[in-house]
Amino acid sequence: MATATASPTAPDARLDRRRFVADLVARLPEDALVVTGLGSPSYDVCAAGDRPGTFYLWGAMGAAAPLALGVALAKPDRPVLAESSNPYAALRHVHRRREPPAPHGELRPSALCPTASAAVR
Amino acid sequence: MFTALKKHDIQQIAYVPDAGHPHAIREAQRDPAIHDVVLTTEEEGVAVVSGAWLGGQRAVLLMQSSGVGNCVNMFSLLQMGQFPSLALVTMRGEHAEFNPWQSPMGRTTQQALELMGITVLRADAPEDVGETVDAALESAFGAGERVAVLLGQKLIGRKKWGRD
Repeated sequence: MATATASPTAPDARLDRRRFVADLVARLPEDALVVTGLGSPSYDVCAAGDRPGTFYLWGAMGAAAPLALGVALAKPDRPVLAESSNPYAALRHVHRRREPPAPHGELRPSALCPTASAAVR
Repeated sequence: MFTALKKHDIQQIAYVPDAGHPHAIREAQRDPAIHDVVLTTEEEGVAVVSGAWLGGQRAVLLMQSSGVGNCVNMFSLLQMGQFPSLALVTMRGEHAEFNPWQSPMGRTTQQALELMGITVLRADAPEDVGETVDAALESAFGAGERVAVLLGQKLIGRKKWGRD
Protein backbone atom coordinates (compact mmCIF):
# COMPACT_ATOMS: atom_id res chain seq x y z
CA MET A 1 0.00 0.00 0.00
CA ALA A 2 1.35 3.40 -0.95
CA THR A 3 1.83 5.81 1.88
CA ALA A 4 2.86 9.44 2.01
CA THR A 5 5.64 8.66 4.50
CA ALA A 6 9.07 9.68 3.24
CA SER A 7 11.71 7.00 2.97
CA PRO A 8 13.89 6.96 6.11
CA THR A 9 16.99 7.31 3.93
CA ALA A 10 15.73 10.20 1.73
CA PRO A 11 16.22 13.70 3.07
CA ASP A 12 13.05 15.68 3.70
CA ALA A 13 12.99 18.05 0.73
CA ARG A 14 9.80 19.84 1.62
CA LEU A 15 9.95 23.60 1.40
CA ASP A 16 9.35 25.49 4.61
CA ARG A 17 7.08 28.03 2.95
CA ARG A 18 6.87 30.46 5.81
CA ARG A 19 10.64 30.55 6.22
CA PHE A 20 11.12 30.86 2.47
CA VAL A 21 8.77 33.86 2.33
CA ALA A 22 10.47 35.47 5.34
CA ASP A 23 13.85 35.09 3.61
CA LEU A 24 12.42 36.48 0.37
CA VAL A 25 10.84 39.50 2.06
CA ALA A 26 14.09 40.17 3.95
CA ARG A 27 15.94 40.37 0.62
CA LEU A 28 13.53 42.82 -1.02
CA PRO A 29 14.78 46.28 -1.90
CA GLU A 30 13.49 48.86 0.56
CA ASP A 31 11.26 50.53 -2.04
CA ALA A 32 9.64 47.28 -3.23
CA LEU A 33 5.85 47.10 -3.33
CA VAL A 34 4.24 43.79 -2.41
CA VAL A 35 0.82 42.35 -3.24
CA THR A 36 -0.22 39.13 -1.56
CA GLY A 37 -2.98 36.73 -2.54
CA LEU A 38 -5.63 35.70 -0.05
CA GLY A 39 -4.85 33.11 2.59
CA SER A 40 -1.36 31.76 3.14
CA PRO A 41 0.51 34.34 1.01
CA SER A 42 -0.98 37.16 3.09
CA TYR A 43 -0.33 35.30 6.35
CA ASP A 44 3.26 34.45 5.38
CA VAL A 45 4.18 37.96 4.28
CA CYS A 46 2.60 39.50 7.38
CA ALA A 47 4.39 36.98 9.60
CA ALA A 48 7.65 38.00 7.93
CA GLY A 49 7.18 41.45 9.46
CA ASP A 50 4.67 44.03 8.32
CA ARG A 51 6.27 46.63 6.08
CA PRO A 52 4.96 49.71 4.29
CA GLY A 53 4.06 49.20 0.64
CA THR A 54 2.31 45.89 1.18
CA PHE A 55 -1.26 45.32 -0.03
CA TYR A 56 -2.80 42.23 1.55
CA LEU A 57 -5.72 40.48 -0.11
CA TRP A 58 -8.05 38.41 2.03
CA GLY A 59 -10.50 37.65 -0.76
CA ALA A 60 -10.95 38.43 -4.47
CA MET A 61 -9.21 35.19 -5.43
CA GLY A 62 -6.96 35.61 -8.44
CA ALA A 63 -6.38 39.33 -7.89
CA ALA A 64 -2.77 39.32 -6.69
CA ALA A 65 -0.97 39.12 -10.03
CA PRO A 66 -3.19 41.46 -12.07
CA LEU A 67 -3.36 43.93 -9.19
CA ALA A 68 0.42 43.92 -9.03
CA LEU A 69 0.50 44.44 -12.80
CA GLY A 70 -1.66 47.56 -12.45
CA VAL A 71 0.63 48.86 -9.71
CA ALA A 72 3.77 48.05 -11.72
CA LEU A 73 2.48 49.89 -14.80
CA ALA A 74 1.63 52.91 -12.66
CA LYS A 75 4.92 52.78 -10.74
CA PRO A 76 7.56 51.71 -13.27
CA ASP A 77 10.39 52.88 -11.00
CA ARG A 78 9.43 50.60 -8.10
CA PRO A 79 10.00 46.85 -7.93
CA VAL A 80 6.68 45.04 -7.46
CA LEU A 81 6.32 41.55 -6.03
CA ALA A 82 3.12 39.52 -6.29
CA GLU A 83 2.92 36.50 -4.03
CA SER A 84 0.21 34.07 -5.04
CA SER A 85 -0.56 30.51 -4.18
CA ASN A 86 -1.81 29.96 -7.74
CA PRO A 87 1.20 29.99 -10.06
CA TYR A 88 -0.90 29.64 -13.21
CA ALA A 89 -2.88 32.75 -12.35
CA ALA A 90 0.34 34.59 -11.63
CA LEU A 91 2.20 33.54 -14.74
CA ARG A 92 -0.43 34.34 -17.28
CA HIS A 93 -0.05 38.04 -16.59
CA VAL A 94 3.64 38.58 -16.23
CA HIS A 95 4.39 37.75 -19.84
CA ARG A 96 2.26 40.58 -21.08
CA ARG A 97 3.61 42.06 -24.25
CA ARG A 98 2.81 45.34 -25.89
CA GLU A 99 2.24 44.80 -29.59
CA PRO A 100 2.26 47.64 -32.10
CA PRO A 101 -1.25 48.47 -33.30
CA ALA A 102 -2.39 47.04 -36.60
CA PRO A 103 -1.83 49.76 -39.20
CA HIS A 104 -5.02 49.24 -41.15
CA GLY A 105 -8.13 47.19 -41.30
CA GLU A 106 -11.13 46.36 -39.22
CA LEU A 107 -10.55 45.10 -35.71
CA ARG A 108 -11.97 41.70 -34.95
CA PRO A 109 -11.84 39.97 -31.59
CA SER A 110 -9.60 37.18 -32.79
CA ALA A 111 -7.24 39.52 -34.57
CA LEU A 112 -7.33 42.39 -32.12
CA CYS A 113 -4.20 41.52 -30.22
CA PRO A 114 -2.52 38.63 -28.51
CA THR A 115 -3.72 37.95 -24.99
CA ALA A 116 -1.28 38.05 -22.12
CA SER A 117 -1.39 34.28 -21.83
CA ALA A 118 -0.41 33.84 -25.47
CA ALA A 119 3.21 34.24 -24.42
CA VAL A 120 2.97 31.50 -21.79
CA ARG A 121 3.09 27.90 -22.93
CA MET B 1 -15.68 58.19 -25.59
CA PHE B 2 -11.93 58.24 -26.05
CA THR B 3 -11.95 62.04 -25.76
CA ALA B 4 -13.62 61.71 -22.35
CA LEU B 5 -11.02 59.13 -21.26
CA LYS B 6 -8.21 61.50 -22.22
CA LYS B 7 -9.89 64.48 -20.58
CA HIS B 8 -10.05 62.59 -17.30
CA ASP B 9 -6.42 61.52 -17.50
CA ILE B 10 -7.01 57.79 -17.91
CA GLN B 11 -3.60 56.14 -18.13
CA GLN B 12 -4.49 52.45 -18.23
CA ILE B 13 -7.26 50.57 -19.98
CA ALA B 14 -7.81 46.88 -19.39
CA TYR B 15 -9.87 44.76 -21.78
CA VAL B 16 -10.62 41.38 -23.21
CA PRO B 17 -10.42 41.65 -27.01
CA ASP B 18 -13.93 42.59 -28.11
CA ALA B 19 -15.37 44.00 -31.32
CA GLY B 20 -17.63 46.29 -29.30
CA HIS B 21 -14.91 48.75 -28.33
CA PRO B 22 -12.69 48.86 -31.44
CA HIS B 23 -12.18 52.62 -31.54
CA ALA B 24 -11.30 53.06 -27.88
CA ILE B 25 -8.98 50.04 -27.97
CA ARG B 26 -7.25 51.15 -31.16
CA GLU B 27 -6.77 54.69 -29.87
CA ALA B 28 -5.44 53.44 -26.54
CA GLN B 29 -2.98 51.15 -28.32
CA ARG B 30 -1.72 54.09 -30.37
CA ASP B 31 -1.47 56.46 -27.41
CA PRO B 32 1.93 56.30 -25.73
CA ALA B 33 0.43 57.88 -22.58
CA ILE B 34 -1.96 54.94 -22.07
CA HIS B 35 -1.04 51.40 -21.08
CA ASP B 36 -3.42 48.99 -22.77
CA VAL B 37 -3.61 45.77 -20.78
CA VAL B 38 -4.98 42.71 -22.54
CA LEU B 39 -6.77 40.35 -20.17
CA THR B 40 -7.50 36.65 -20.35
CA THR B 41 -10.69 37.11 -18.32
CA GLU B 42 -12.57 40.23 -17.29
CA GLU B 43 -12.16 39.65 -13.56
CA GLU B 44 -8.42 40.21 -13.92
CA GLY B 45 -9.27 43.68 -15.17
CA VAL B 46 -11.01 44.55 -11.92
CA ALA B 47 -7.72 43.83 -10.18
CA VAL B 48 -5.65 45.71 -12.78
CA VAL B 49 -7.68 48.91 -12.39
CA SER B 50 -7.48 48.56 -8.60
CA GLY B 51 -3.71 48.21 -8.83
CA ALA B 52 -3.52 51.22 -11.12
CA TRP B 53 -5.34 53.30 -8.51
CA LEU B 54 -3.04 52.06 -5.75
CA GLY B 55 -0.11 53.05 -7.96
CA GLY B 56 -1.53 56.53 -8.50
CA GLN B 57 -3.08 56.17 -11.97
CA ARG B 58 -6.64 56.19 -13.25
CA ALA B 59 -7.74 53.15 -15.21
CA VAL B 60 -10.89 52.05 -17.01
CA LEU B 61 -12.13 48.53 -17.66
CA LEU B 62 -13.76 47.65 -20.99
CA MET B 63 -15.85 44.53 -21.36
CA GLN B 64 -18.90 42.93 -22.89
CA SER B 65 -22.01 42.24 -20.81
CA SER B 66 -21.15 38.53 -20.57
CA GLY B 67 -17.92 39.53 -18.85
CA VAL B 68 -19.78 41.19 -15.98
CA GLY B 69 -20.79 37.77 -14.70
CA ASN B 70 -17.16 36.72 -14.67
CA CYS B 71 -16.31 39.63 -12.37
CA VAL B 72 -18.85 39.25 -9.57
CA ASN B 73 -16.60 38.03 -6.75
CA MET B 74 -13.73 40.23 -7.92
CA PHE B 75 -15.98 43.28 -7.48
CA SER B 76 -15.45 42.69 -3.73
CA LEU B 77 -12.02 44.22 -4.26
CA LEU B 78 -13.54 47.54 -5.34
CA GLN B 79 -15.76 47.64 -2.25
CA MET B 80 -13.10 46.56 0.23
CA GLY B 81 -10.55 49.01 -1.14
CA GLN B 82 -13.13 51.73 -1.82
CA PHE B 83 -11.43 52.14 -5.18
CA PRO B 84 -12.93 54.61 -7.66
CA SER B 85 -13.68 52.67 -10.84
CA LEU B 86 -15.39 52.81 -14.19
CA ALA B 87 -16.38 49.86 -16.38
CA LEU B 88 -17.62 50.47 -19.92
CA VAL B 89 -19.82 47.54 -20.87
CA THR B 90 -21.03 46.83 -24.41
CA MET B 91 -24.36 45.06 -24.21
CA ARG B 92 -25.29 41.77 -25.85
CA GLY B 93 -28.46 39.79 -25.46
CA GLU B 94 -30.80 42.65 -26.30
CA HIS B 95 -31.38 44.55 -29.57
CA ALA B 96 -31.42 42.17 -32.59
CA GLU B 97 -29.42 39.53 -30.72
CA PHE B 98 -29.04 36.36 -32.78
CA ASN B 99 -27.16 34.31 -30.19
CA PRO B 100 -29.39 32.98 -27.40
CA TRP B 101 -26.36 32.26 -25.19
CA GLN B 102 -25.88 36.01 -24.79
CA SER B 103 -29.36 36.49 -23.31
CA PRO B 104 -29.13 35.13 -19.74
CA MET B 105 -26.22 37.40 -18.80
CA GLY B 106 -27.41 40.28 -20.99
CA ARG B 107 -30.74 40.35 -19.16
CA THR B 108 -29.08 40.41 -15.74
CA THR B 109 -26.02 42.58 -16.37
CA GLN B 110 -27.43 45.68 -14.70
CA GLN B 111 -28.73 43.80 -11.65
CA ALA B 112 -25.45 41.91 -11.23
CA LEU B 113 -23.52 45.18 -11.18
CA GLU B 114 -25.98 46.83 -8.81
CA LEU B 115 -25.97 43.86 -6.45
CA MET B 116 -22.22 44.31 -6.14
CA GLY B 117 -22.55 47.97 -5.21
CA ILE B 118 -21.84 49.51 -8.60
CA THR B 119 -23.88 52.45 -9.92
CA VAL B 120 -25.15 51.79 -13.44
CA LEU B 121 -25.61 54.41 -16.18
CA ARG B 122 -26.70 53.63 -19.69
CA ALA B 123 -26.39 55.11 -23.20
CA ASP B 124 -28.47 53.95 -26.15
CA ALA B 125 -28.00 56.82 -28.60
CA PRO B 126 -24.66 57.76 -30.18
CA GLU B 127 -25.04 61.40 -29.17
CA ASP B 128 -25.38 60.40 -25.50
CA VAL B 129 -22.24 58.27 -25.24
CA GLY B 130 -19.66 61.02 -24.78
CA GLU B 131 -21.68 62.89 -22.14
CA THR B 132 -22.62 59.73 -20.25
CA VAL B 133 -19.03 58.46 -20.15
CA ASP B 134 -17.80 61.91 -19.13
CA ALA B 135 -20.38 62.03 -16.31
CA ALA B 136 -19.43 58.52 -15.19
CA LEU B 137 -15.74 59.46 -15.11
CA GLU B 138 -16.62 62.48 -12.97
CA SER B 139 -18.59 60.28 -10.55
CA ALA B 140 -15.80 57.71 -10.41
CA PHE B 141 -12.71 59.87 -10.11
CA GLY B 142 -14.31 63.03 -8.75
CA ALA B 143 -16.69 61.53 -6.20
CA GLY B 144 -14.87 58.22 -5.73
CA GLU B 145 -17.79 56.07 -6.87
CA ARG B 146 -17.84 52.66 -8.47
CA VAL B 147 -19.65 53.14 -11.79
CA ALA B 148 -20.49 51.17 -14.92
CA VAL B 149 -21.86 52.52 -18.21
CA LEU B 150 -23.90 50.09 -20.27
CA LEU B 151 -23.60 50.81 -23.99
CA GLY B 152 -26.80 49.51 -25.56
CA GLN B 153 -26.60 46.92 -28.30
CA LYS B 154 -28.31 49.32 -30.73
CA LEU B 155 -25.18 51.46 -30.59
CA ILE B 156 -22.98 48.64 -31.75
CA GLY B 157 -25.23 47.77 -34.67
CA ARG B 158 -26.23 44.37 -35.89
CA LYS B 159 -23.38 41.94 -35.81
CA LYS B 160 -22.44 40.61 -39.23
CA TRP B 161 -20.59 37.38 -39.68
CA GLY B 162 -17.53 37.53 -41.84
CA ARG B 163 -14.20 35.88 -42.35
CA ASP B 164 -11.30 37.08 -40.24
